Amino acid sequence: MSAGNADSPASREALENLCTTYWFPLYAFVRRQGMDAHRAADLTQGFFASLLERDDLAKLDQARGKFRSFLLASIKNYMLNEIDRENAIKRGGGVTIVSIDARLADSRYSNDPVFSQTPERVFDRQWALALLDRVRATLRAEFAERGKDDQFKYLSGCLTGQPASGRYRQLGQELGLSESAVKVIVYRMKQRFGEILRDEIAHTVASEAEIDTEIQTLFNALRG
Amino acid sequence: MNRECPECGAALPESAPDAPCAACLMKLGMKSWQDAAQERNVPPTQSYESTVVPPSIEDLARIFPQLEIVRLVGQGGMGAVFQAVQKSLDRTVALKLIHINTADNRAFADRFIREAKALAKLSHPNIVTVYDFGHTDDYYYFLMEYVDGTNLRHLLQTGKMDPASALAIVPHVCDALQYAHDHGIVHRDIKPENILVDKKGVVKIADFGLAKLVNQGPAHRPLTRTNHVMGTMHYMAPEQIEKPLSVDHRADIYSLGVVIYEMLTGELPIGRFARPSQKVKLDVRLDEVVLHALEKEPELRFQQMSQVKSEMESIQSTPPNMAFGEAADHLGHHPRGRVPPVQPVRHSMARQSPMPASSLVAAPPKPGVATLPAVEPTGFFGVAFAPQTWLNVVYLLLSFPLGVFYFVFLTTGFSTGIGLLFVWVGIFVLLGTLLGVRGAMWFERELASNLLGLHLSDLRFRRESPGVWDRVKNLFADAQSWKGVAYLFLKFPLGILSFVAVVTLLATSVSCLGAVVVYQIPWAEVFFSIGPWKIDTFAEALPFSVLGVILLFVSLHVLNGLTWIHKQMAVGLLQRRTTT
Repeated sequence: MSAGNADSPASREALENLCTTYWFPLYAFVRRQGMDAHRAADLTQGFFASLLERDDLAKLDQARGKFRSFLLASIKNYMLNEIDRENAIKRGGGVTIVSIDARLADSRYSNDPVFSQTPERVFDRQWALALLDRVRATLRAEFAERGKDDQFKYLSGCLTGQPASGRYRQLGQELGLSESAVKVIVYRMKQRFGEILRDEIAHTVASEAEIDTEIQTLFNALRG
Repeated sequence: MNRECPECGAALPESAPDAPCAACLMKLGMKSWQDAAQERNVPPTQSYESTVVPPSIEDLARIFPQLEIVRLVGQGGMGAVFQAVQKSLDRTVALKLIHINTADNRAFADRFIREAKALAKLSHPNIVTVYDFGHTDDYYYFLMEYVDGTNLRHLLQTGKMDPASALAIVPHVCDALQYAHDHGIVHRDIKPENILVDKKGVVKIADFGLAKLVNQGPAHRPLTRTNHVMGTMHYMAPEQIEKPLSVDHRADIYSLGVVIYEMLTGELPIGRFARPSQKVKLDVRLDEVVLHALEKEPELRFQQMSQVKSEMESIQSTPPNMAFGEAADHLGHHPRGRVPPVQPVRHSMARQSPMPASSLVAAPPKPGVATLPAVEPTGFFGVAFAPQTWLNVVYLLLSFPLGVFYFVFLTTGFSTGIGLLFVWVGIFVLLGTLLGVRGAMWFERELASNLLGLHLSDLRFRRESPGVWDRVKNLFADAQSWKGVAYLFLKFPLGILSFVAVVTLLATSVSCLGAVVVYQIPWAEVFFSIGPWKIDTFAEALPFSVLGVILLFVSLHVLNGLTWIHKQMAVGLLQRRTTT
């Protein structure tokens, strides 16, 4: 996995990237542990700061496996330490490494209906959602690159489920395409979505074989 | 109020009920979806979608004046299915159009008629009935019973049927297929999509023999694009791909094995696949059924669907047979110590009477046998090295030196006169040896299952045994038995270990009894002098003696039990060929 490979700048960047994507699941986990919004934001921020500062990625060798489990275990540790010390977090030299919008996070947290679950489940679920967001963004960027933003805009809603009859024709009219062309684009979009999803997950697990286990785990978390 | 995704049943967030379902999005990354996509991935311009356009409802109304076409139900690689009402009888029917580009080919038309006549003769409550057939300019068609319901694939995907209760439909599928096989018809395309379940819960098998018709059309040699479009390679028996001309009813048995495997594990048995019980917790006897159905060679599979059915039913009706500690792990999940492999199927549900819909549709997922998270196989040879496992290895390693040590002690002890030490060392060595035997048993079992593919579930303990001659005859009958022979050879290390154990036991008993006997004989007193300690009175010797005798009996019983189990394993293994 690229996030744990070496101390190269690339791997550090990869890790920061992952952290940017996955800070919300950690925040949700912390909230679920009973922290208020402010303290949770602080803790999450501090955790990332310490993670990036202490080069913890060295501990994350290939054999250890999933990045998700690693982060979860790390933040549990971190929280225990922090709560023990009851100190303000001074790490990171005052530099915000990952920008966290605490107010937005709070509303996002409060709006999600399934927070009646264990912190771990909340974490997994949020992790899955963050991952999907990221995949979606990548897919959108790919479409934009080819100058097909509108296709993504109109058709990304068809990624799941069965379209109502006539829906494709209607979308085709909007886009100036035939119904069968729309079908093909949607089909390829689905396929590409899956590919990007697998690529993304490949960054967070140790081996190819674990990708499917990870997907299944995340799928179960989303099924609730 | 929470809305649910119609596809997978996951709860949708209230804030954005129209957004794509996250769980379904996640599913797009699953290997099964991606693989299926690969198979479907014929270039769009050539796909059936662009070449085979189902006729419009108006056109159909003109071609079939006797029918009132209601709607297009589905469209697949072979053609399209419409719901229609047969005006004369006022019954709902399904009109299946099969697009064949060879309508003008006389030979194909003849074969179609021949096959269709055979299909129309099938009359079974679990088979979709064919009412009529024929052909128009572009299509061959079947007029069939309309099944108002859904198919197994959909039920499994949407989580409306948990794997355990899905198994309950297997006996019905077996019934239907046995009936068809008895009439000389092989389905050739058993897959979850073709196993329909109507709203009352009655199982109906669809598309009998169609795969053969379509694949053998003159322009459609096996393994051409048609097969891709059908996209069911994973359910095909190996001989369907390698020797399509020699396919018989046993191909259906293989396909059903794939379906059962998929129902249990959610995965397809591709390549070197794991036993179902390695993936999910379930009655290990189900492994036997599935693996037996999935044998590569048709000769090694179940030979009749009825055998699959009776195996499944016997699993349902008897408590699980989980041996050697596995049982204890598994039983914890179930009250009364039973692991029901499938939903109990009442007798009345067989054949004609419909299954209770509640048991099939909308059953909430249960933390049942087949729904627990999979255990990932790790370690070498797939042996999972949990702490318990390491303990066993330690036992195993310890027992040999201990045994040897004691053996030496035994042979030299009498002449050097340290008899009492026998008692102590004997007790420890005895324990060590028993633990060692246990470790060896375990190791042997792991080796057998991982190297030879033999499982305890193969080694059924049976009361009624066939004659000795039959066993010997069958021993050499086929590869499975040779595996058995190899397995028996594996026992040799255990045999040696057992020998050491027996010698140890004898030594212990001799020592303990000796404490009593020898005490009566003055010249042997030297046996009981160890440094400053001396056993001078009978009372001092008695506890050792009693302990020794008890240990002797217990140990002999344990050894006896182990021997019995081994014998049963061997007998059960050899019997397997004679009973199937």
